[in-house]
Amino acid sequence: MTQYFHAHSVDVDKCRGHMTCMRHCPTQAIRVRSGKAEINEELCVDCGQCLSVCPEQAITPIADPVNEISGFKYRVVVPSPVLYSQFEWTTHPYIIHLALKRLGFDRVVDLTTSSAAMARALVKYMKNYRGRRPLISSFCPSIVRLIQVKYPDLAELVVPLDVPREVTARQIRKTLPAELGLKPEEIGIFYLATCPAKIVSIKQPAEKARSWFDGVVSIRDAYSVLLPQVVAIREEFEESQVPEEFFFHTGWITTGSITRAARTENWLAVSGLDHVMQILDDIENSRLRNITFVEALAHMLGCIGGPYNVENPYVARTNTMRQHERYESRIQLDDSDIEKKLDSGYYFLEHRILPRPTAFFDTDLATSIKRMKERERVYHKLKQIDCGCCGSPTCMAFAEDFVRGEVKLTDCIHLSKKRSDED
Amino acid sequence: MKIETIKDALAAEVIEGGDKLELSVDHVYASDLMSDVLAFGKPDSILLTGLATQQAIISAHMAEFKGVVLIRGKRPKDGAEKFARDNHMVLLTTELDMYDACIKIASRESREITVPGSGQSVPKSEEILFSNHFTIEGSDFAKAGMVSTEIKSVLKKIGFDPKLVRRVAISTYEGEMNVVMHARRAEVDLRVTPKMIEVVIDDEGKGIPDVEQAMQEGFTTATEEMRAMGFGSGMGLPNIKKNSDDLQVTSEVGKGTRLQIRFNI
Repeated sequence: MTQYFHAHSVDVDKCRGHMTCMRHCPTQAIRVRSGKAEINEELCVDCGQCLSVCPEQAITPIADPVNEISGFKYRVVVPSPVLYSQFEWTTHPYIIHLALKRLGFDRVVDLTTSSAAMARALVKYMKNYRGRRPLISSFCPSIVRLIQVKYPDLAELVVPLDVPREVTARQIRKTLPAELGLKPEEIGIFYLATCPAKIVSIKQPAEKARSWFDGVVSIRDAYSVLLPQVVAIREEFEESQVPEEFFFHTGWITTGSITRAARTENWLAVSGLDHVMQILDDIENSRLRNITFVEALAHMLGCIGGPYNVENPYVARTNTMRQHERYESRIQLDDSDIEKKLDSGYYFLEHRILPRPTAFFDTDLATSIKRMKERERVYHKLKQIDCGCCGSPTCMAFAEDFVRGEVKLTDCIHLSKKRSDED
Repeated sequence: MKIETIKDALAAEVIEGGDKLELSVDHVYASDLMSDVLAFGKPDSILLTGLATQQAIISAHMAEFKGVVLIRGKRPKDGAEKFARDNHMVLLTTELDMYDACIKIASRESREITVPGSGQSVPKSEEILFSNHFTIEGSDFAKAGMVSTEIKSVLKKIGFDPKLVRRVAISTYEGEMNVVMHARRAEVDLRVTPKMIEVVIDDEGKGIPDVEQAMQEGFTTATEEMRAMGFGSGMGLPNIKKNSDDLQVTSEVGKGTRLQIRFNI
């Protein structure tokens, strides 16, 4: 099964079979077999929870190394706006731009103007939308994948608008070569990411053939080389050095940013996969009838809680609030331009998000029902305390694994104990 | 069932609407009492009757039936034929009497026939491919929705069409909320047969004095608090009916309510 690319893998030399990842995985995609964690590629939605909780740091991210950028003549970096929040709030955002340039980037592009325009575009899109509600934000790639895998019926509710980072990268790709007189392939565009899902969405997008980015570096990897530069620049920095055209805005980095940017009633913002799944269940049960739009983000507090960040999310949130007060510029938007772009399809995804249902037991309904019955039979034999010693996260998961032929009943320590007691 | 199938089963002669035999009807209503037809007939049915007057055709038309079958070789009287033609209804006549005609149509019927209120129309045990049992506790708002979520997860894992799973989930959720709001507890049975998914929610509670009234959109007995929590908008039973293929409600005041909800596969 190598159909799906994932931005992290288990380092079997480091993995000691703690089972922490298995217990935390929100889609129950992890099993521990022969003392090592294994990730089910079909069920994994790239949230990166396992990465954050592993006590051995045995789950390693697959991102491009920072020196990857040297292969291009002109290098553009589009940092996730979360990057600014990773530094103490007294650090002027312009310092971070300067530091990125010292690392070898020729241009730093801000995402937030495009985010603000897209929030406006979203409101306009919602205004004319007459179908099933609530619509769900397409912003978090982990949530998009969660819906594709576990909530196939909700896939049609995902807003068909693309995300600001892709729209921005496409714009750079279209205009920059002419501006610089370079060939398109001489320009490298890189993203600085907060989580594995964004890396996957660039390496293997859910809704198009390829991303507009050439590479993606995790904030965690960039931070270690960025910090010394930031510290050095800060020493001799004076605010008068900031050029007039410099622009800073905090952007969509905490839960509710999109909702607030859109300023509409009956919108709901939710973060953290457990809470998101409760909301998605409610939508499936048609409970949230008065809600028109749901902003759902995989990590607690939003992208600021992403596992590839360095700073504690609550500290980062304080940083961002202070930066907002102190450095933020007003975003000027041209409504008629947004409307024109919306009509021309500029903001839309290339393809709609389609469900990615997994044939859980079998593709044949009769066989599948038989196996479901077998699952119930096995489950009732078990102690139902979800001890996890067998390497499956719950007794129900163990019963399912048994039906799929992945475990033996004797793998359950309670069943084998009972048997040896009887002997 | 197609009208064509009914015509064949009864070896009937077509008097009007020969071009509409491809249409499907959901029910056959056999009666000579036109007030019953108006009160209980379901839209898109066909009427089987010994009353050959224009009045019979008008009644069927008012009840939104697609056509009328006359029994014992009767021919339409007065303006009956013209009314059927003008209103695009099918009009057939058969030599069979009412009882035999019913038997002939029933023999072409693949659907299981339930006895409303008898509570005994459980699918035969050999037909049940899969079953599961759950309990809902009344007034437990924290857990409300867990049973429907569990049922949904089971059906998804089996691999049923997501649209069907959604209808089951919505109906079960509405039923579950009714229990949480109004009853002490309920036993829930999920059964899957080759032809259908059945959910039975059997509660111990105060019961529904007037089921017909409870089926109306907007009718609610929920308290202010319940409505403040987003429940009890009076859409429960109507929503179940809308999302299911068959809903039977039986209730006894002071004892409880039983919902039998069915979905064709």
